[in-house]
Amino acid sequence: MAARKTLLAAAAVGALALGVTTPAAAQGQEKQQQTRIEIREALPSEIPQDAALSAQAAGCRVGEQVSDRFSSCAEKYLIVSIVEIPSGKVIGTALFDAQNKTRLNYKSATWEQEAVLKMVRSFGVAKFGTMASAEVDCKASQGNGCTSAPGIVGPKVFWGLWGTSTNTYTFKVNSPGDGIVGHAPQTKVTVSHPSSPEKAHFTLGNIAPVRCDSAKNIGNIGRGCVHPLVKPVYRLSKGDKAVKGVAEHIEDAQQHKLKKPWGAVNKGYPLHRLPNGDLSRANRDTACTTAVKNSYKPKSCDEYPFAGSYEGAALNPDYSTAPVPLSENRTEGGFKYRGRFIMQNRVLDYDEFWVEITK
Amino acid sequence: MPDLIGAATARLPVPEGQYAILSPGAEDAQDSIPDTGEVAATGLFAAGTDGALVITGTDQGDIGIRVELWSGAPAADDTAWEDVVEDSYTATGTAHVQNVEGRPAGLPDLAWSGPGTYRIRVSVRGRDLGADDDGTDAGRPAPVEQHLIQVWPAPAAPPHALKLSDELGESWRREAAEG
Repeated sequence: MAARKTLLAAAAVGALALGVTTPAAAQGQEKQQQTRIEIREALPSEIPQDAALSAQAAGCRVGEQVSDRFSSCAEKYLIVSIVEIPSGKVIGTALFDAQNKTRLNYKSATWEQEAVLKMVRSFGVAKFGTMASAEVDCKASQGNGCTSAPGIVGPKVFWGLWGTSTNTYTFKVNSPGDGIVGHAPQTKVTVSHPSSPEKAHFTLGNIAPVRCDSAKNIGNIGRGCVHPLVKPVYRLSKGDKAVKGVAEHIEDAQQHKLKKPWGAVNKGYPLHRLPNGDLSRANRDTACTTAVKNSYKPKSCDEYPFAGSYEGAALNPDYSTAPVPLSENRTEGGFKYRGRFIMQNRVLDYDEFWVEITK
Repeated sequence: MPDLIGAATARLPVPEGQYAILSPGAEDAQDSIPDTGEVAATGLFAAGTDGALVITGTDQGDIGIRVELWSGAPAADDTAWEDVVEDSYTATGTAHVQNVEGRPAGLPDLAWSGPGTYRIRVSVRGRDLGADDDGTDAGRPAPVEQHLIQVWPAPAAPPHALKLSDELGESWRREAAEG
């Protein structure tokens, strides 16, 4: 601590030596701002060459948003400049790698949101005493919005003397109520420096939208949240003896029997989940008629796309049936397979999903 | 003579031809449900700790279900039922009937005397009719497939099939035997 205090003092002295007026020094003098702090997104030419590698290690990509059903990362590089007024002379700069991340939980209404700010390089007065705080802004949400704890984290100091300097800001964000609510929480950072009475504000890259629900038809597991724009993938293995026949039928249907590759990953025709009801029953009865079922006995009638999808036989003439062992049919649709997939990905009514058959 | 503590009936949608008994509030409750392979011995029902699985013939539709809570083992009536199987269920919390989508059946807590080990007897009829149904059952006042679940506190014992006669169960057992 003593070393840090000394450095802060050195920063203030350094600022004075550079002719910069600190808030304290300005007291009793003319109320004229003599420096200002600015923040902007870095140009591609200003981003370090190894940025892509370090981003990948964190599950991120520079300048983009990378998401799966439960995590999202938006990464940007920022330039903070401390500018002398009125000369316009830049007396300090710092380059920040700024990651905005989420970690959702399929059975919790609370998720973790984290901003990671890494001061990669710094020059001049920015080397000493540059600080940043962060807060999660839930305004861009439906309904009751979300709440974040704590409200603000920081300010935390970055130390440029020892190369890079990293601070992490962690929030618990909660989605109240029991409805289906979309959230688009933004993380805002405020950067300051002892030499400038003003602060600079920047909104980090947007993470993928969050959807929280308390749906009763996905396994009765209470409230939880996902990134709904990321389509989950339901995987079945042909090597899994418990569902082998079903997996082979789906693969045959996707690759050969159907006119369109319904459900095949990224082929343009995702399935949409249809919860149990008259429609799913109609799908089943259209595909697996009494005649078809009798012709398959003693095996059972398997249909694809699933009766539990809006692409089922009553709604889509492009479907396939095949005889499969009864136990496999029940296993695939059951609690430990498709039921678990729907639950753990919170696949709600009309949510899109893919079906992938593996070896 | 054992006492009937309580009884209730419901119409339960059974997407994917099965339902479970589990403790809905428990962490990872679905993990406690027996695998479908564990049902192979009887083709109907298997139970364990905080989880039981019952296979239905109806696979996109409703069944009729009655639950009876008993103080001891009730007399078995296998004339009215096609398949009757008993197994032991250990409840660490509550025990509720729930379908694969998680919708509760609105039936009472089967672990009626609190946590402990219970004997569950599942009696069914109409599974083959349910399996063969092609939509004509929709909207009927009573589904063609009927299940009776009788529960009483009892020490743990191996599964026991009192009667096995329907085609669906036979088909399941044969598949398992053929590997």
